[in-house]
Amino acid sequence: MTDDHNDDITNGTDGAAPGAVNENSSAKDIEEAAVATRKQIAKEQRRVLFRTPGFIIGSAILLFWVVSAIFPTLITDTDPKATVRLDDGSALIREGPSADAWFGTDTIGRDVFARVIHGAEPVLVVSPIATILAIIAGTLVGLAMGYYLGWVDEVLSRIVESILSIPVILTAILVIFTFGQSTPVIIGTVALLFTAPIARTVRAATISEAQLDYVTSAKMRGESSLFIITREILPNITGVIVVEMTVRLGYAVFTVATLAFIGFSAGDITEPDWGVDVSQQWERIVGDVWWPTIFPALAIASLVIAVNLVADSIDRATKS
Amino acid sequence: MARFILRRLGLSLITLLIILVIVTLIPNIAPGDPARKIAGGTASPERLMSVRESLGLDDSVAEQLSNLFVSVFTLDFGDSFTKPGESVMGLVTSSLWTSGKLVLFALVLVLPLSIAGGLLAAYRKDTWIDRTIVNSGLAMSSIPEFVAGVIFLTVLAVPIDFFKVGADAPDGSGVFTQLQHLLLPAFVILTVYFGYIARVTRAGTIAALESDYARTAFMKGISTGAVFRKHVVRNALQPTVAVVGTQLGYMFGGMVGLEIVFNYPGLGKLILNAAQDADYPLLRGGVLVVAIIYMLATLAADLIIAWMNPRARVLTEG
Repeated sequence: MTDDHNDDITNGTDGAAPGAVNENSSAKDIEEAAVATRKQIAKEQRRVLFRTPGFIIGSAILLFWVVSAIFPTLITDTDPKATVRLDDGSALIREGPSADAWFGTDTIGRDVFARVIHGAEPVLVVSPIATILAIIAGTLVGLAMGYYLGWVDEVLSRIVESILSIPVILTAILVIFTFGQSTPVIIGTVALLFTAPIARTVRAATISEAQLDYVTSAKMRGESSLFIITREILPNITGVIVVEMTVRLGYAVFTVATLAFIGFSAGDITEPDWGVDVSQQWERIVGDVWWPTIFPALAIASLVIAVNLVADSIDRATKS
Repeated sequence: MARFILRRLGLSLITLLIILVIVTLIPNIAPGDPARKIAGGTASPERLMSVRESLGLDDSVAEQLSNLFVSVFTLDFGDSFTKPGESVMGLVTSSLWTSGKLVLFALVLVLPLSIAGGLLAAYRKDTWIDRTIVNSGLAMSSIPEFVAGVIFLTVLAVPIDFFKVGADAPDGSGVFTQLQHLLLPAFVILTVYFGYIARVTRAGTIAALESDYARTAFMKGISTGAVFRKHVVRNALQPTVAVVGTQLGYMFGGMVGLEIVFNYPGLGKLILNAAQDADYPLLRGGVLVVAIIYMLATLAADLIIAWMNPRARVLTEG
């Protein structure tokens, strides 16, 4: 699936390689030309991307939640932890959606809309940090596996395989239970568990790149392994890494929200958090009080769908 | 084939061994005294001693590892910590059976529907049917099960009596009543997996349809149905088999959120409750059993693929 990503880019570099061998004097020019071709292709891919409906819709939803997470007071000035009171001082408790509280109020009278807006913050802090850490670690491990192969690859592959053979949520329960419930532990656990699938994807991409002529010619020029991995292979698999990063971000949101729902969140449970709010309120659904649960649940759904739309659009653009 | 099976089994055993090392190391590298955390802050010294002993934390890491190794192969993880007199394996087996009922019922719904969806999308490639299946699959498969669960509770279980709020039927119910209770959680699993499996099937089918042998078969004048049956399906479904194999472990132990929403006493909920009650032997045993299920399921998937495609017997050996 990820193997045929960078045909265009590779051909660009490939075409330049024989010239570089024949005429040493113009090697630099040709390299520059190859970089220029690569940049042009990247530009073209971005142009296609910005016209994809999925990308536009996904980014718009994502932007809305990012704004909610950073500047919640721009969208609502209601206190998410206070009981909503009408002008005559009476409290609005467990009331359905109305003009006074757009998404209704929960069992202790807090404004559900304000909680949904403020609740974007915890998940949008934890998931991206965990994803970035996992991408860095997974890329390093995957490059090493795919380039060196042999026993390095055998050993790391078995470790990756064993991490992948237990559902993420169960390993997370085991680790967070032993290390204690705190934000760094949750971030570290998700990052560590996501390193495995990322390493596997990067490994596959590295193996297919390493077989191409430009890598062989770099080896024959006597370049160091470090140079070949970082300057030759890495730039050609950035497309794969970017797609993997967006896909993993979606899974990170999924995992962090699920952990919060099952009771593994770091914060105080009175603070707004989508997963925690659903876990506090969902049992009221059978009593027909659906709004305190459904709105944060839809917020989670919209965020993961938005991230996936963006991921899928980038994937298609890099393949086009 | 025998060599392939042996090598595949060997790899599974190595994976299992690494899992055992990781699971053994976790409490040993955790900060603080795990025994104190498990026994509670106010535990008496005697209680603390007995906790330490039951966890085997006084032994060297190598001894702990070999004990766990024996546990896995004899399937005996000792007694539960919070439920005196109940063996870990007894509790896990009964939840495993409960989870198995849901997984089996869900698979009966999910597999035919999503494979048909994938074949249809591939056959009608680039039409609105294809785009609907692919895009809805993309959107649905990333929604956490507990989110889909609470939405189904609201729109189906509360207004319509036929759909039940709890997945666990009262004791002594007939098969039909049990299935009626399992219907909503099975719908959730369908929502999550339909798009995923349909997409994989679609991609496999398109690759098979564009292959030389399929083109040759069409050119010989064989009908579309016969080409699908005799040439395409066998090759197209290999990725689907692989995906179902890797997802089975997840269905058995990973659906913690779903089991909570429908109050279903499956394996995921058992493991979560073990963590909440600080029942470490049960937690560890449950996680290891899920890992074993995953390994058996992927092993079965690889064997099925090797049976479907003789080339895979050689390719996966590389």
